[in-house]
Amino acid sequence: MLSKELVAASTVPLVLSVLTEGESYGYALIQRVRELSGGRIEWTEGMLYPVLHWMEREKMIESRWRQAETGRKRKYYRLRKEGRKALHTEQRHWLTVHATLDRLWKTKPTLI
Amino acid sequence: MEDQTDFDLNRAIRHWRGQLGQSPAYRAENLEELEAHLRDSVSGLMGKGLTEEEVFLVATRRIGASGALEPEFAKINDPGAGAGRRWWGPFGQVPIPRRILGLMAAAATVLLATVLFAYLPLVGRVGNLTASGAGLELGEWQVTVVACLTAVMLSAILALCSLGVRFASSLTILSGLALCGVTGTVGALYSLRSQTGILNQYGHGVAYGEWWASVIPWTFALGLVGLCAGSSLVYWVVDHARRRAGIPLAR
Repeated sequence: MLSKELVAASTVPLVLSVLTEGESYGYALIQRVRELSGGRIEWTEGMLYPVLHWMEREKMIESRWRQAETGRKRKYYRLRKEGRKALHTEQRHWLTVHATLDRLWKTKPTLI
Repeated sequence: MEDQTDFDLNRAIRHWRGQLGQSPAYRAENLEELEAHLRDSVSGLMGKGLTEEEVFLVATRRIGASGALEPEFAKINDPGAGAGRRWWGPFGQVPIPRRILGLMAAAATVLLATVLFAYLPLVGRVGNLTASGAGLELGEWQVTVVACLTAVMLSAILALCSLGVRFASSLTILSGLALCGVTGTVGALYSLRSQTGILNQYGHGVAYGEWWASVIPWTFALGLVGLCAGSSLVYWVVDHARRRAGIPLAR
């Protein structure tokens, strides 16, 4: 299981990345991340919403209420242009960290 | 399966939402979204050998305890942090951002202070005139000045609260407005009473033309303050009752 800090830091890039697959809502976003991480990334589900609202305020995403086929109303989130830009930046940063650690671990395999 | 308990899922969800709704940290829309999430989560957990009650407990636990969620929602809905929570204004459906309200209160402070300082020298002159039998009684003008000063201080506090202090809630602001209205009314009534009623009996009051010039703006200003404070208070009471009952805002 990831640390609380790492989960918090990765929430925005994870949400942005899942939303590149198309419009989605809170519960489905959580399910998708759970599925992709093999259950290793677990959010306190309610905590996702303040993050989504913050991202909306920052114009990374936009939302609308829509009625699902089941008749249930849900708030759907969609990526905006700003969000795509933010995702590129996030991607660069995370890949930098990843590449650095990867090199270190390759040169000093005993660390692992 | 032995699931014949008195557990009513919809009632439990309503109760859970009502509990959350008691905190001012959540907006009605937040509660709506959290309930939609809870219902999705409950549906996802059904058919896994758990009772409805167990499913509900797992789903609410996954969403998180209110104590943990509340500060996060408060942060995002905090108007001090930007265009977040809005104060519901005098016309019920027109949300006034708290910054605007703060600026209005600051303007009111400046206005009241100006009026007061313009009035103080006048009071001194009137005080002198009293000796010759044409001014206000000492006790009366003191009450007026104290009431005006209080109104100035209250609107200053209101301005500060609205513009930056984090603990200021809508209720604080409404109470401030109501107090401003009350003190303003007291001040105005004393001022009018001394200028017109009593002194006029002795033939030393203000002439009728001046009397009207004094009454009209006061009536207008007080009517406005009363309208704002009154309708906001009614709106707040209705909104509070709605939150307690867990009824969402109509969209």
